[in-house]
Amino acid sequence: MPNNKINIIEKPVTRREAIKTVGGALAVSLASQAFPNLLFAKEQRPNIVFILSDDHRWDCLSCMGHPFIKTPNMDSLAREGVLFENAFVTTSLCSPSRASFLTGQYAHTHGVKNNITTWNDSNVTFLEILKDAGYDTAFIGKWHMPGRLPHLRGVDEFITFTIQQGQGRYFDCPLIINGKETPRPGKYITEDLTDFALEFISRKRDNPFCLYLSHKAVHHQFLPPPELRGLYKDVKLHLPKDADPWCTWVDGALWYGTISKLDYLYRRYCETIVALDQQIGRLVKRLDQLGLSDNTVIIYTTDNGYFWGEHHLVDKRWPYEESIRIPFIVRYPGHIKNPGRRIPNMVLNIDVAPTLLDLAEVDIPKNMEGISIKPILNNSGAPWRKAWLYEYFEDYPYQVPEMNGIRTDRYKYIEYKGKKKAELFDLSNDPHEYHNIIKTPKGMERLPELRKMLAQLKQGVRL
Amino acid sequence: MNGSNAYIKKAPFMKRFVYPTSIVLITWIVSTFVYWNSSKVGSAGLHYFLADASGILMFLSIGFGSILIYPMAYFRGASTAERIAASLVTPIIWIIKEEIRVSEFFTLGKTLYYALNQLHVMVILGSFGLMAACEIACRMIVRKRTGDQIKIVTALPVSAMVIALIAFYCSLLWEGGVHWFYFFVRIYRAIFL
Repeated sequence: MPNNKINIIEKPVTRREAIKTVGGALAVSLASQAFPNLLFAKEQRPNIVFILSDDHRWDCLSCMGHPFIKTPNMDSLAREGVLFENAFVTTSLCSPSRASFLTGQYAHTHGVKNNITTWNDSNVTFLEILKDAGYDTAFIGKWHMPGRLPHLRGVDEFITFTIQQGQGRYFDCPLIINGKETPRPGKYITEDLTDFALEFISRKRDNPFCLYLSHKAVHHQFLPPPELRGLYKDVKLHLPKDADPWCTWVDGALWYGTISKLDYLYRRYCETIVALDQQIGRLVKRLDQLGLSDNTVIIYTTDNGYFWGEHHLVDKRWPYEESIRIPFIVRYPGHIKNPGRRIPNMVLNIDVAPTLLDLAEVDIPKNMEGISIKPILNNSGAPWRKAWLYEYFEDYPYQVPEMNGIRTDRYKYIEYKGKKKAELFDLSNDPHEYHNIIKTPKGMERLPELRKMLAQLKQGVRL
Repeated sequence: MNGSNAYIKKAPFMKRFVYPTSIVLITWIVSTFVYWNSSKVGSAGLHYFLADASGILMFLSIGFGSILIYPMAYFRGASTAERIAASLVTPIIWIIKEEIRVSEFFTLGKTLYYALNQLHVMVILGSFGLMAACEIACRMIVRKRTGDQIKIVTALPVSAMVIALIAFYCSLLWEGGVHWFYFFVRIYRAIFL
């Protein structure tokens, strides 16, 4: 061979090869200084976008087979990520559920038992822990827990609202922007909150970020923006057989703010979901444009479900499936194998906080009662919970008794405080929970074990 | 005896009080029964129709029964106290029924406090407002038929109507009644927590 061969670490290479190798290494070195996020994205801790809606029941998405509602952006999240088909809240009520998302704890632990008992500032949120771990953090949207606004430790940006006891308004809702009340005339709240979220994720920064975006939508009064109003006014509804137009008025149902007939409200509810979906689309699109998608985990979920006439009920609170089930989608491109999968494992609102900490490679505090879903994101066969505790506490003047219950993959057993009799349902044979089997031979056979499991769950045992 | 008294003969108690009251009360009882049993009929269409029709009757008999009762009692010679009492029978029975229902969920004190909620207050004040409107309408009819120069618009019925309208606005129209509701809950917290 000609004498232009030189020896680089005992391997003979040509001069041209040597120049290419050294040049390439130099380029990589320079690029890593200039664009560290691009080159080492996978090694970085992920950005986090947690989107929480309000009262969005699990099956009101087109990807869940809803007969007419169109949610292309939520569908897209599910297609590019995973959809948990059995996601639940441990208390089906706004404030307790929100506190559970933030703390990873049951209501009896974090103390926000209903919409009356106040948030305790000593509660530790996942935002606080992530901030300590070097994240930039923002809480944007609905706080809605009783008492004054908290001193929310670990939050760089706190944009919320207190009007109407924290429920907010769909239109012209004044916001509290980092402590300063700011009128927002002419704004539709879902879009307004999304605008703040877009601004937050678009900032140049060195740290990973965690965005907690908590919408008012789709809580009553179910008000879509003007351009979507009437979108579903002519569609054929598929309301349950036990529904009727007046079940929004009787037996105290008016307390839920449902002063209209059921079908009218349901159409508006669906239109409001479409508005929410559009804003989620804007957020995801911006992440894509910023080149952040691959290293950003998005979780979309809601604080509880909603009855639309099932069991002759509206609102939530009760332990039946329509009330306790939630949509739960995780999108994390590049980290989720075979995207578009549906995962059957039972996940809970209390799992969100430990999951986000786990994904951020931060230690999960021992007092969090949820479990990280990271192991089952790519392997639904990984060891997982068999049962979980449902609890509801008195929330005057709403006429729902206090209760404790257990839900397994197949059974649901609920004990009520007061006169209402306990209920046991075999969900595999009776998914709509019309037949209480507690007095049947099968029910009596199952009951001792379920009671024992419920007692264990109440003592904090994980099953 | 003036003209209007001559025009309006005092009927027996059954006719001037019990009959008008019974019409509305029985309508409420029957419509309530039909409403809560309508799902038992086999056909979904019939269930929907029965629930809708009985729901409307139920709502009207509780909230608007006085429109029927008050003039009937008026022209049968019932005293003002009797007319008011007759008009309030159905709303009060409904409220008692609600109190019994919620006693399943709340302690005695909370159940009693529940009676002061905005729906109950609205039903009672609304009934007074409707009675006031009926009183004015009845006086107009009497004046037209008898030629008596009775005063049609007086302070009491006008006050009742104004109060009812304010209550209606606050309990239902002002942002869906949430402010009244939050006030109710605030008082609840002050008393019970």
